Amino acid sequence: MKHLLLLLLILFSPVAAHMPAGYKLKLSTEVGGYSVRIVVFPAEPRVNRTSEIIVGVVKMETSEPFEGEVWINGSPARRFSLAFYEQNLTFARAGRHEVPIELRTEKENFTTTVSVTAVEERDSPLVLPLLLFTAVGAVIVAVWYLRRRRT
Amino acid sequence: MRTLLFLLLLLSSQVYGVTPPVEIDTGISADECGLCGMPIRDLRFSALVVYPTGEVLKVDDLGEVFDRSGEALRSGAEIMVVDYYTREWLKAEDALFVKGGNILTPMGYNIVAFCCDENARRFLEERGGVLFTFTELLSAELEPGRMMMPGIPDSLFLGGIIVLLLVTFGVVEYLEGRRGRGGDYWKYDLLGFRVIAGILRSRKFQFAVQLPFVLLFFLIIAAGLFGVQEPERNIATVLTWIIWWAVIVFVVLVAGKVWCTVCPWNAISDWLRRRSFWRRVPDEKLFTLNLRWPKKLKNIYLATVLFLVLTWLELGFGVTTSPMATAYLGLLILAMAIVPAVLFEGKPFCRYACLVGRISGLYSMIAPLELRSRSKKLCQSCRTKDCHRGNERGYPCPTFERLDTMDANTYCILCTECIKSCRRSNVALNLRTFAVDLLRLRRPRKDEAYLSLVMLSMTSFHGVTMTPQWFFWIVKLQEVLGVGYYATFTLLMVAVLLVFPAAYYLICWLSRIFSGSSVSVGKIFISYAYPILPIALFYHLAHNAMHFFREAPKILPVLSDPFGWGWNLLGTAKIAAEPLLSISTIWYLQVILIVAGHVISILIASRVARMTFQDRRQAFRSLIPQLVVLVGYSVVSLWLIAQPMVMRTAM
Repeated sequence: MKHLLLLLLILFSPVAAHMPAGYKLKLSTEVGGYSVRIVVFPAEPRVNRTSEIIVGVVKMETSEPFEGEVWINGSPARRFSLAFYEQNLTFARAGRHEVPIELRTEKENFTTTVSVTAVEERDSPLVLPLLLFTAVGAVIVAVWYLRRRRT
Repeated sequence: MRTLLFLLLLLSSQVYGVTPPVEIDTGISADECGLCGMPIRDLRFSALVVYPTGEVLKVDDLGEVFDRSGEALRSGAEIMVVDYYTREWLKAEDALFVKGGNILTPMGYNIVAFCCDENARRFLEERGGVLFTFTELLSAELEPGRMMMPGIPDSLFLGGIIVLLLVTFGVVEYLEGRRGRGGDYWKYDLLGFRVIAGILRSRKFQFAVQLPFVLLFFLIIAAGLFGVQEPERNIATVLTWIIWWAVIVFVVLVAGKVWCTVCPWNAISDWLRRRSFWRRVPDEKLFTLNLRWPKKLKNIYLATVLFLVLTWLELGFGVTTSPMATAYLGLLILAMAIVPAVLFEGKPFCRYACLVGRISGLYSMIAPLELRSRSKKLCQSCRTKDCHRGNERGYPCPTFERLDTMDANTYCILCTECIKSCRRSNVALNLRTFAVDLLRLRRPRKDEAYLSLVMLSMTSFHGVTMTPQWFFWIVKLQEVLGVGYYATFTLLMVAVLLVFPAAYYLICWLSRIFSGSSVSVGKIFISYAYPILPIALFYHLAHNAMHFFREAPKILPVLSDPFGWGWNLLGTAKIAAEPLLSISTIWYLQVILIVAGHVISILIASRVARMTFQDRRQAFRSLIPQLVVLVGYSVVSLWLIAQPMVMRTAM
């Protein structure tokens, strides 16, 4: 019984360890009379093998078509339609960052700032180690069983 | 308005070709950058900051000047830059700039300057990027990227080639003028010292030396899994790839397989198998099924494949820059060490599959340390073969060696079990002359020959992947092939793996033609693969010398803060330690290492020729194509260290 419990523990430990990390930020704000919905998605953390960390992609949707330029975090955002914009967020360090969002028209600029907590996006670090532990544990249990049978 | 601005820019950009107040020396005694202290090796990316006081600051990467331009401009300084194509000096305010093209500059700002619109447009077409004016660049957000370590200067490169050619002729002439000595060689038995013999015979000794490395291994795993995922702030990457991976090659050169003595993977699997840290457990109580290792796998092809996988992970995937991937890799190797240990007899992983053990095994043939029998005759008369079978004092040899037949370091893992078990005290731990195993090569093997070629091709490939040209061509190739980075990298790696052995086979075929003998090309191929080992090893050392002597001090901050969590355990977390050696000393060291490897290779090639061919003339003629190849390889090694090296982590 003791060994069966041990076996079950070994087999199910990866499931228990799977605690997905990451973050998703959603907020609605008001910029120059436009109602803006912002969603920050985590993105691929490792880019070009440097220590630079891309922490997310800002997807922005304005309440009504906006004819102008949208700048997110100091550079122009990619425009998908008159209401949908997207911009990568790149920070060198994890932590809290203020991200300026600007709506620029020929006449006027509207600015607001959203606060984004940059975290390194990754799965639980224990999934692979515990899968390995399970595999090796299974082999050890099998060896133990076979040795017992031999004697 | 835009046209007017463009015309103004065009006009202003024609005012170029000014004389700088000082010259920048990019030669062997290169000027050091006034901002980062690195030698200035490429004039095209450099800049001068001329202060009103007359003081001049020389900078290796013009991006650094703009990154800190506020300070320079506030003091009324003038910034001067160099046109990328014409190499003429310009006032920065008259220049045009391109940022972010497919180019790498010393500090990774990747900004180049141009005298005129024509040159800037040409660069944009060739390498892409974004055009900036002086004013725009002043207000742009700049950040350094990958740093480049400068390669040896042209004068050292050319000097090195001349020395290589001279020593080639000198050594060959010397060897041809004397008869080969196949007899004994100098050695000095360290077990003659009672203290050393006593320590090595103690069962607790190995546990005592393994324990610190096992603890470090678990620290690496913990830091890799739970620490900050930034390579230069996490002990997992710094200790594994900057210290261990660089130092292990030096350790092999000096002390052979001593790494295996302390190897944590070996230690943990041994402890599990024995269920004891140091006690001699009877063989029947060992936790193993004692199965026989499959006959088809009794070679080192498995280790060769694993070495290629590791090379792909290191260079292609970039495991060296990921603490977590480093931890995963460590655990994976641990699993690979444990499973065969509990299933099969002995330690088949160490003998047939360990990539570190097999690479260091071949390299250790050069090492000046060996474990051998004191008297072969006494060994041959021994009936119990305790070194091989074990007894109550020592375990059987885990890599199935026998002291009466062992004539090379390759498969010995210096576990010291035979020292404990030999009843006649017939085991010696000798200091000896370098490369004895290669000079007295008894049994060349096909699997070892292939691994030698793979090692040479992969060490060269490794060097190429760290040059700035690589970053340019890999992007171009991706565009041409229409596939992603990983696919392109894999294709290139496979191409190198196919081309090297094929080219070497051709050379061996030429050796056979030149010799006029009936020795098969296959035999020549296997025998002549060994002389290339010193070239691979010494290039590896030269390459790692730059990593180790420049980057090793990075260990100090992470010792205080191994997880990157802001700790300061030893008070060294904020330390900005200087490199261990100056860059010009490292350059000389690199050239000396490559020449030394070349000389050893020629000595071994000459000995191999005499062992393979009975007739002395045939032997000499067969050697000619091999010498051309050896000189070629060494020149390629010199060329590689002459290239700027893109570092794995930011300094």
